[in-house]
Amino acid sequence: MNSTDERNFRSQYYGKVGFRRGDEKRSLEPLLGEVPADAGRLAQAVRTALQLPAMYRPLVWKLLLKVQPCHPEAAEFVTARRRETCDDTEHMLRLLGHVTDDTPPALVHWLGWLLNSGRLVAMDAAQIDDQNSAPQLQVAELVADLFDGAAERCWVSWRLWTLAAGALKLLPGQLPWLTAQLEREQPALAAHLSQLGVLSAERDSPLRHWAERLFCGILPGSSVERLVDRLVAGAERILPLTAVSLLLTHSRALMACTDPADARRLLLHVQPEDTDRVFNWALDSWTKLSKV
Amino acid sequence: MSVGGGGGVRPPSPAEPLDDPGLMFRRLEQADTDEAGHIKELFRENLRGPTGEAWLLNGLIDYYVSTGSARCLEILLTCGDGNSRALIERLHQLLKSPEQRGAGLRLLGYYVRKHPVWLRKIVTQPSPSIVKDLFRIIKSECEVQCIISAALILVILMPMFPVALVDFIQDLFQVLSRLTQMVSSPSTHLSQTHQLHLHVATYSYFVRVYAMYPCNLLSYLRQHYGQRDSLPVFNRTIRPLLQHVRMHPLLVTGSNSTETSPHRWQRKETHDIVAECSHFSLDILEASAMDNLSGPLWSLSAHDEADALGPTDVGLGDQEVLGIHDILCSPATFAARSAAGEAEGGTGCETAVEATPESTPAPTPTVTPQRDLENPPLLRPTSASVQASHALAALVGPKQTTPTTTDSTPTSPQKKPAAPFRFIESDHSQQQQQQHPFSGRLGQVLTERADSGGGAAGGGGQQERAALVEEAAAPAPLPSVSGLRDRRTSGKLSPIKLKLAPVVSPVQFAEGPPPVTRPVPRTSGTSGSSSASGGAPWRGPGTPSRPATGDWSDGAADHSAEDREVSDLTRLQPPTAATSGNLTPFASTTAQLTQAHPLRLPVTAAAAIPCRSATGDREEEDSPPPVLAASLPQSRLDFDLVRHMTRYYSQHVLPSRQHRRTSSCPDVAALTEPAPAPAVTPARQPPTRRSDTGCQTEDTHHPSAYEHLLTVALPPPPAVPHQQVTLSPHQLLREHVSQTMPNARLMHELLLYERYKREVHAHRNRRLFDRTRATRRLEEENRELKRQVEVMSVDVAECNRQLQLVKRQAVRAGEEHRAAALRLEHRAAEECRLREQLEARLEEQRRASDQLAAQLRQQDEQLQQARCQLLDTERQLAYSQEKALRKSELEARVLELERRLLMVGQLRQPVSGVAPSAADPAAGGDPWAQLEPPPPPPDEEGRRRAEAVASGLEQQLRDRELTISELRRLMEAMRVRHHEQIQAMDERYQAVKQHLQMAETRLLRVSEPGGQRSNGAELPAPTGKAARADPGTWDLRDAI
Repeated sequence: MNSTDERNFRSQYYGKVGFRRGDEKRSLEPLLGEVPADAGRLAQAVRTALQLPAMYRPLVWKLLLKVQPCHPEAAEFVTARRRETCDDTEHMLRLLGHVTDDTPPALVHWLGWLLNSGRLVAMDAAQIDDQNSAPQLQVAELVADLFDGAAERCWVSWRLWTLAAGALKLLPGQLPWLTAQLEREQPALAAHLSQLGVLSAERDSPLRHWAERLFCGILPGSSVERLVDRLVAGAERILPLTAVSLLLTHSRALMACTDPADARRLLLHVQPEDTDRVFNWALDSWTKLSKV
Repeated sequence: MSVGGGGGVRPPSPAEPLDDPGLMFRRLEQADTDEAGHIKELFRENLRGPTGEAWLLNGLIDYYVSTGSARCLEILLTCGDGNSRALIERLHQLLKSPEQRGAGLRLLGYYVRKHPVWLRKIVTQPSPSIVKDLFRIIKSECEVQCIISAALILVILMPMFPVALVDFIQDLFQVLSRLTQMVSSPSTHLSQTHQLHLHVATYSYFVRVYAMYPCNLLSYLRQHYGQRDSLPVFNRTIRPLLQHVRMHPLLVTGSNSTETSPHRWQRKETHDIVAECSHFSLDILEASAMDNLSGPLWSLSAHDEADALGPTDVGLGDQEVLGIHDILCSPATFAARSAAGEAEGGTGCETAVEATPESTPAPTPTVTPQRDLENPPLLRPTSASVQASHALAALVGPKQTTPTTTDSTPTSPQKKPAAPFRFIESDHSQQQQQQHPFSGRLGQVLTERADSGGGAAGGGGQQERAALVEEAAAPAPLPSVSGLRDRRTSGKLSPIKLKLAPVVSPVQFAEGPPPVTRPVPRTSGTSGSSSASGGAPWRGPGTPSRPATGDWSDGAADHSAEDREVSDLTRLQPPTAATSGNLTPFASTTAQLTQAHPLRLPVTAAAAIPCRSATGDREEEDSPPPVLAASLPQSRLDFDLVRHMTRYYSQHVLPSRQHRRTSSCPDVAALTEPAPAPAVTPARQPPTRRSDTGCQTEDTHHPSAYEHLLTVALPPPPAVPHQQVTLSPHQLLREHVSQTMPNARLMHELLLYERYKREVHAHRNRRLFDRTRATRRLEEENRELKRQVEVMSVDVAECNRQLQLVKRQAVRAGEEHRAAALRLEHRAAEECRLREQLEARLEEQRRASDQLAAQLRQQDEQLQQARCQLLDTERQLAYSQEKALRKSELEARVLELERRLLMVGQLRQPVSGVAPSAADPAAGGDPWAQLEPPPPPPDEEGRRRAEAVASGLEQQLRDRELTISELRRLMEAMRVRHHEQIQAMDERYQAVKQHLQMAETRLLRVSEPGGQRSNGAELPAPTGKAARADPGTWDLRDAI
């Protein structure tokens, strides 16, 4: 790869100038053109790629999330099954009375995920009603922007929520690592935050709040898409790194906070910036860490 | 009467014979009462036999008749039940024999009053009928004493056997006629005392007959006195009696037959009849037995009369000239009578009638009995004090007025009493005839008699009557005065007194308003003046109108002196103003009296005056009930005084008093002839004691009814001149006995009669008392019951109120219950609807689950197919791998062959060309076969050929390798494809499984009772896969 980069002067030039968009499109096309596509190599390519071309992103996400089969001949069968599953789920939800015609699709997908993941059975009516304001719906909205088909939106959302759930489950184990990363960058901030007790995996902690919505609404949409690219490609640590980056971004305000509630409130209501600065820092960190 | 005899005496031995009746009688009369009781018991024992010993009975009767022994009488009265026949026989014989008639009547009287069981026989027994004997005696006997006794016996018998005596009703009436005849025209030899007794007996008899058989009596009277000729006789005899009885209701409601029917007496006892008879009497004494049962009027009048009657003893000295009714009047009567005694007037009748018109009860049935009851109460209330004052004035008056009145207008008081018949004299026959035929006719007859100058009428009386007639013709010139007077006369007095109206006046004064123009003193002056007019129909034996009788020998001067004395006696009471105002000249009084029309009784002074003036001619119809006016304190005082005096006279001989007494009250006893039967034992002499002890009802409040007679019967000892005081007491006693004896027996009879009456009344009182007690008890019970009823009613009201409350609560509760039921029904309906909805949903979900199950089955089939394909693919893959293995073997063999071939070629190369062509056919064949033969020596051609073959083989090998790699790639692709398909199917399967699980859970919740709306938190955590529903445990990724 380095050889090709070295030989590709333009790419090197772009990289030196600052536009780190290389020829990911060219590198992706053969991968996508394979029959059957090699998911591992695709994921590696996505992980290593600086930025995924927007036109391939839905396909890449579908392939990486196994929404679309790698073998084209199986695509028809699998798509049919996927659609059936979606219809059945929605039908079931309608039967159960949780979904009507007025229910937004994002909520329908979220309830469907809850149903298929076995969570809806354990929820009562009030909890189900509270799902109107679930943070995961922002993920569904993000997906809805990228995909056209209802079955695709449904399945991609389901996969992303599954990823987010896995990330949340891994979060407590990643806390020490995250703290270490933070100390490496800003020891004072890390000490301050640990003193405030912000860095925890509790239900209302900022980290959990961020992770369960995959930073939708926290970071700009482009950053979220890139984040999800990495996440889909298997780079799970991009989430803690993004969180560290976010904390570092608001380090000054956090240092000013002496009350854990204030800090928590500050972190819960982070306004997204227009730049990808936060994610870029995280991506750089991740790149550095993955190289190491 | 017979009780006192043999109280505690031992029973005599029955074996003791009455051998010597004389001895026995002597023993009977001995002083030892025990022994006498023993003897009495012995007699009774002997008389008690079933047949009785007739001889003993006869002997006893003879003994009694001859001696009058009281003890013998007791024996006789206690026996007789067993041998009543003999007794009746003996009585009959006694009554038949003229000598023993008196004693027989006495004995019969005892029996009758005792009322034994067999007494009925004397009425019902036909053969020796004692009643007939009685009738015969009265009708034919001349001896007054026997007549009186027989009459009294009849009076007693009548209420006892009212039905049985109906058979003798004509005899009864004839007896009445006889009695009245004797009373009205007594024989000259009849003493004053006898006359009095006869009056009493006659009146009692008349009252009894009238009360019991009024209609028959009236019819009899009409029959016997209806003729014009006998009308004067009627006026003289019967009418005065009729005036003194009340209107009998049976006269209106009954008839001759109904009043004699047995049903009338069916439920009445003797005392009932006696009391009823006394109702109809206006006589005080007759009616005094009336108690309050007779109503307010009668009780009041009775009381007043009893009060007013007290002093009657005073005037007893004068009584011989008066009728029996005069005796019953108030003391003023006597005072007046004393003055009137001098007056001579045969025409006093008219004035008397004038003076007391209203008091006359109409003898005809036209007078309604209500009038008697209506008017009197209004008259009653006249103040007793005023009456007392008038009485006093009346007593005082004579002293002042007597001299003039007697001279100017001589009147006879006894005329006035006799006069009260309205229709008698009065006035114009036309008017009276208009009023009533009967009375009119009587009046006409009377006027005729008056015109004819019925020899007895004096000149003054003539004038009076003339004036009276004139005034009657001209309607009431002085209505007010006359009304006043009428009121005085009529309102106050009982009819008995009204006959004496002018005499009784003191009572009458109380009625009239004093300030009226002409206060008329009801004194002796008045009576004297009025007595001058008309002949009195009721004329005592010594009536002044008949001087020829000679009984009235007292002169006017004596009378005035007596009056003075009487007034002295009563002077104890100071005269009141009213009294003094009433004292007016007698002449004017008389004129006013004569002007007065007899009218109805005015109700009050104001009302009576106009009423009188308007209806002066309807006197009889309007004649008010006679009422005795006065309860007079004055009279009571007089009564006490007189009683005291009487007692004094009877016990002591006080010459001066006695002398004055006799002067005021002429010595009746001295004047009367000695009684024919003087054989009265001294033991029976004092009747007063006997009456006192015998009567239950006697009390100190009422004067003994015949107490006044006592003074007559037992007059004080004859007026002994002062010089005769020295006579021996024996002489005095003999004289006294000789004087008193004739009267004593009559007195005794009367007293016994009265006592019987009292006893009857006592019996009645006891009955009534029992009834009253029972009534009071019932009233108490009734009151208690009423109280209980009130309490109960209160309870009932309370219960009703509570019931209302409970009802209201019940209604409210019912409404609440209905509302609750309605709500529950609504809820039930909603629940039913909900249940239907849930059932519908359940059904729907069931259908969905079936559908899902079907889908699941279908997917299972698909999965099975996919697995089959997968197996197929794997088999193909294995086959391909086997092929590839064989190919690699073949390659290895080819390589081996090539190597061998190379070695062979190198070997054959030195041998070039040994057998270059031998290898061609075997190129493709068995290499070993090619090798078996020693390779031909390599030659160029063979080597080339071999090389060609090798290159060809290599080429084939490469092709084959290429093919194999291609196959591998295809197989990998196929594997990926199927794996993805299987994964997709697995995911779908998982999803469907979750759906099923969810559906089952919901089904469980729905079907769970009571948990329809429970939330999922209550459900148990899903088992199996649901337990792995944690984000981290979800196996999608793992499956991938």
